[in-house]
Amino acid sequence: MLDQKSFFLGRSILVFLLTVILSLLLSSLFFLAIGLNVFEAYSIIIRGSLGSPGRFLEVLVKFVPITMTSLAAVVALNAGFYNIGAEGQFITGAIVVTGISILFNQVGLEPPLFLGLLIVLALGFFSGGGAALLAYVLKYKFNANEIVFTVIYNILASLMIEYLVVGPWRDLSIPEPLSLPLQPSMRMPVLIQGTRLHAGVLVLSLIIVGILLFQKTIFWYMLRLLGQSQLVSELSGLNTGKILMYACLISGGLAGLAGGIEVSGVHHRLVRGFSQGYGFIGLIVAYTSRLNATTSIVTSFFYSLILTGADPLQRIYKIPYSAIYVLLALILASSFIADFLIRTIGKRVGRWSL
Amino acid sequence: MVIISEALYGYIITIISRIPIILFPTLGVVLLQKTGMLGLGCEGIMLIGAVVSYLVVLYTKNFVIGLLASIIVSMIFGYFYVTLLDKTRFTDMALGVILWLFGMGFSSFLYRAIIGVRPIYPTIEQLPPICSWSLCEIPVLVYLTRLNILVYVAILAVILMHLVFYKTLFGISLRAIGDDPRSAELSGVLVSNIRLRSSIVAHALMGLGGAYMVLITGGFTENLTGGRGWIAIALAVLSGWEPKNVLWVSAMFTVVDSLQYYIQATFPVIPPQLPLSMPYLTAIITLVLVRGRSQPAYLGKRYEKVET
Repeated sequence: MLDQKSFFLGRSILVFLLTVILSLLLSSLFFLAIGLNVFEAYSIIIRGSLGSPGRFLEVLVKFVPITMTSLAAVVALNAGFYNIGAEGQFITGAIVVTGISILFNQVGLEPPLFLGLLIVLALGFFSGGGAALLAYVLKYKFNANEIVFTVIYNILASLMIEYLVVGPWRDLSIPEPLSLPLQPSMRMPVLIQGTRLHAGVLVLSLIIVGILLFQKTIFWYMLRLLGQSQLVSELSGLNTGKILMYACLISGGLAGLAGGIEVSGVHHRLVRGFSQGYGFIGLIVAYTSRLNATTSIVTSFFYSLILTGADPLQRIYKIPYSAIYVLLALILASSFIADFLIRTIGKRVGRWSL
Repeated sequence: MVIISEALYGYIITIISRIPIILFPTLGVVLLQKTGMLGLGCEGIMLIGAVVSYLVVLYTKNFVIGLLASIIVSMIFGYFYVTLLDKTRFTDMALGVILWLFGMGFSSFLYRAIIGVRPIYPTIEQLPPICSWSLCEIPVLVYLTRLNILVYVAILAVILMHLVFYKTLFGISLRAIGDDPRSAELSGVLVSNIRLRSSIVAHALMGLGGAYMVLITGGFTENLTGGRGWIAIALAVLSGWEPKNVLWVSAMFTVVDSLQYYIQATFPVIPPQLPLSMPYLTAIITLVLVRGRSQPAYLGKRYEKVET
């Protein structure tokens, strides 16, 4: 007879293996359907993400925003607050950081490098968190559905970036619609010369350590209890409003921080279509990892491997970018199907069900 | 008698024929939420309905086939939605978000894969008015004959849904399920069956909304619906889950939505993003001002069959 811990461990390993098999199967079908050579497609993806050190650093560059937005989704969804607005909060963080930099430029102020970076991080965090708190306030003061609000907020944020890039913040020395660049002191320093790997990775590693410790705190437990049952947590005397407020702040803050780091580390200015759907990808990662923070960090790494490898695939075969969303949705679906299959088989076999 | 100028008249016709774009999905969401399901995949289903009808009409040149195709595809999604909801451990919100992301990716992928990148994108003919012969030039009725057939279908759908909700046994069981599925089941209502039927019809309505949008604008672009599926959910809340309110709610929204084109044309100084954001701001204001009315008590909760 298995004990409980090894039973759950064994089952998650089984689910993981089945997910990998199913997603390989489904994505092969998908590649066949759009007329690609399956093995060649896989080899391009692997070579594009792990083939050379340069490509692997590119994976790390993508790993930063994806992990942060997925953790943002994990925190909010665990608390039972459906914050779908990671995309909007990501953009908000980037807009505020760029705005302050442009303001500093106009005033003629230039903070030293370390202070500039601190400003970037703090502004990114609190502007994203503020955007999430707005949804929180609207929900608890006005009973407005947070899902609808945050989704509409995403649309409004991308309209805002569109307006700023063509309108007041436009850099007139360039024909393309781009905003004015960030001050040099507010840019993340590049870690390895000649690549795009920036200091945001260090910030990310701090956040990962922070989240792993955070999972052990009583606050995380209260947050999950609130997500499971509001009634129970109220009856046990928790201050649910306050817990949820902090959860919102952390969730939105992580997304905003990712936006701030992205603008200060990769683009150095606002561009049209700035986010490339990182908020949505974070959501997919969060659901694939069943809202577990530790798992979602690992899953983010896999997703950034796939996304980076899909870039050359997309360029060589001229398949549209949206095909990658379909691929991600297939992986997510296969993780749910695997879970379902293991559960059903477990019930049939009987011995597996605890 | 007030004489309406031809231009203003054309403007009014345009607005009225844009109403079903939001009316169909809102009706679908009302039906689904009355049965206790959230239906957050509305936006994704609309996009899928839109791209299917665009491609089918482009290749067959037949509106009816295009509409039928998108309805059938959305019905399949409706079937999967309710099956996954009841049989697996998907939560309603998670499933809705997944459907939305999938619809967004899949629709633009299908469009790009089949149409590709071209300098000029092929357009389809717009829906014709119900009657364009000279025979129809009856003095008063001429205004009515310039609308297309689906506007009338939309009004009929509202009336039909009202009748079904409040005059049939099916409607009573449906509302009972939205409030308490277990009691409904114990009193002999076939809950799974009604949930299935309601979901299929509701998703068909959502897909129809997207398909209608394509037929009225004559083309598809990536993310064509631009969040209208989410706005439909906000409007369903505003209507208080009453089919008859859906009519004026969606009419009101369409007026605001159409105002943006007017503002863009009349005041070119205003940056175009401001009028573009008006419908979304309206939806948010709606959400904030309308306190939760008699929301179906079981909305969004997991339904599990009573073990007997």
